[in-house]
Amino acid sequence: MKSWEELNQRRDEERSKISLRRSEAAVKIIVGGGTRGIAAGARAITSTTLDEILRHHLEGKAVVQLAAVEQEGCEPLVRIEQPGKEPVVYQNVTPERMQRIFQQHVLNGEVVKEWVMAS
Amino acid sequence: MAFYRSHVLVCGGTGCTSSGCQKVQEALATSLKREGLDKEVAVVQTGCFGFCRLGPIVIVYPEGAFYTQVKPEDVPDIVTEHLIKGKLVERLLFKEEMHEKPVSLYGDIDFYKKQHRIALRNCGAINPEKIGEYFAVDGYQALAKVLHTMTPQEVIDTIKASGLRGRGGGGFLTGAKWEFAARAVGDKKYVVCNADEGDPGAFMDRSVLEGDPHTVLEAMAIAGYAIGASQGYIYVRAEYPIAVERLRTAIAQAREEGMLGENIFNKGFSFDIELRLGSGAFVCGEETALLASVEGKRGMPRPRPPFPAVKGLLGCPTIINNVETLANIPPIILKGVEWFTSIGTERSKGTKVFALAGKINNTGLVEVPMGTTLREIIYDIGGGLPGGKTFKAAQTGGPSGGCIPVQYLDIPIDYDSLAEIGSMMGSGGLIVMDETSCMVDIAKFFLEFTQDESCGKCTPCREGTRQMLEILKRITGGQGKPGDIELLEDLAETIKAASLCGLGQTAPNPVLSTLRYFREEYEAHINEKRCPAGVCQALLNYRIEPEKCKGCGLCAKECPVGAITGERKSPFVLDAGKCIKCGACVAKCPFKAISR
Repeated sequence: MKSWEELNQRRDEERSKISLRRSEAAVKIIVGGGTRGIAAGARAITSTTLDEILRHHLEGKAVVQLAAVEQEGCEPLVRIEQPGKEPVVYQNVTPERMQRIFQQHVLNGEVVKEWVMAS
Repeated sequence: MAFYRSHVLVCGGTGCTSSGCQKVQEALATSLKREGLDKEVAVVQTGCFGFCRLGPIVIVYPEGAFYTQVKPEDVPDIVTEHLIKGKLVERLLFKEEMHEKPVSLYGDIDFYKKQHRIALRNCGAINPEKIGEYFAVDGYQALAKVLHTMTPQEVIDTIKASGLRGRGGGGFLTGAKWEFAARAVGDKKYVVCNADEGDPGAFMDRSVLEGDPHTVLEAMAIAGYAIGASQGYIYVRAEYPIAVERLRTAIAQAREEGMLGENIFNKGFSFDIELRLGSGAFVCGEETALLASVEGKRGMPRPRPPFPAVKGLLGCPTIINNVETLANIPPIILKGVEWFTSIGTERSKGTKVFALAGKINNTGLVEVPMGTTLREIIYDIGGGLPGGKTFKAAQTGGPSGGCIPVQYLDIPIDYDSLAEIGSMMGSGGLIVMDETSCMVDIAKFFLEFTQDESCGKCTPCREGTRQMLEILKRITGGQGKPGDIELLEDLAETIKAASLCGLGQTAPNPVLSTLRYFREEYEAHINEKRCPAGVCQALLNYRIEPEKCKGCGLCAKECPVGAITGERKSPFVLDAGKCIKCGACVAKCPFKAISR
């Protein structure tokens, strides 16, 4: 490296790789794991989410976390948390639905109302 | 590029390595692969987290779950429960004694909450073998900043204004040292990093080298720019193999990325660093002896002046800074003088790392602002003394320092306050002692160390420490005589006055400070032939108190030499002639009927 700009660029790239250790992420996507969640296909949701993050270059801005939250009949669950906004929980998520949730909610900030879990 | 949803950090410092972190890391890698998670979860080896008592330590992000004493058998649980299902593995989570619920998250633990980590800021947070992770935490930004926006004099002024003092023991102003070397005339100048950490129990420098080696390289390059040097040496002891390996890796990566070498950032400044391995002689931590050793000569101190800043390595102006001191440089450059001077006390700015050892619950490394009291360090961060024992004294400054008795638990610790009460900051070793520690024995321990490590150049140090040690051996061996204390004091003054280097000048300190605060213990040993703490074997007389003995016979069964006899249900008798004073009977007696 021969310039400060290059160093700054490297810093930003590298920072996005470790941002999840520094709780800096702007959006937190929590996939309901637990025994029931896993049985209902939570792992596929996790990998779809990871793919979406990569595809939209949101590394460093989004964090995917598994949590043992369960609600019978509603698995897999996905909860989306953004600072300053009410968290939203989606039920019976499939990989296809996850893609739309990602596009519409995470990227454009519009809640996908029809899949939101009834409270 | 892969995107990992979770990072599993495994401590890879010397402490955790010896408790088996390598196996844990391997088990994690295998288990993740088996579950098909190796593309989702990254395993990261880091430096020391400082919480050495509970190693190996594993932290799982993004949650920040803090798992302690993890064994390879525990790994499947972490993988299937936590990483697959998202359930924290409660049984492995760190528990604080005062809290009922396990404290799961890194940031919530008292041990860390009360610390202020500057020198250790990256230890345990990044992978020390990847320069990229150092870039991510603003690595080499300070070097870029000084090369692009500051003159060498501005760098020196900044370090001077920060009030940073040497963390290796002396406490000399770092900026002043740099200024002397910058003003000195010479074709070549050198920057030397003193990584010859030698105080028994102190390992903060090792921790920085193992956990964040690039910060040392960056700081040395900044120092080189400030004084006009293009070559640096790190003098590190060969007994630190992990540190040496990580330094080698770091230097190679820094060269590859252009952070070391010719014309850094195209700014016309060149700087490179080489390692020099020492063989662990304590005296080589003394700067002139260190320079002799780097030059390939026998490590012996020489008189100063000329100071190394004027005539150092190979006769050229040289600055020598300790590892922890250097680790403070990049943050000072980046965050500024105002930030740094807001931490600490009037004359001691910033933080200090202490290595907690001895009779304390949380042994390990802690970094606190200067001016923190001993009570806060020992009770709030260190978790107090094990077994509810009472605090008696703490030894700071290692074999060159002294003890701090209980009446000073609340003084704010800095360079000056410690010197006032007859101890010193030293490199930050902090050994806690309770009522079962004999102060004469402690003094003997440290004197044995310095006597052994004396290079032999000055007679008072070479012969005087030997004489002092003989007297201490006599006192603890039950042969002390009136006049011994006065003779010790006399010898101590002579050694302090007539030795050339810091080793000799400070060698009598442990004796003088224990005499200052615990003179009555010396007197009990000499006059009453009694060791109040029950440590000095020759002074112990085991005896069964008939009124307390219930005649259970456990002691007789335990005694390895058959010195205890008696009939069950009536008091037993101990034959002092046969007794080897091993203490096995005392440990076994349920009625505390055996006195010594």
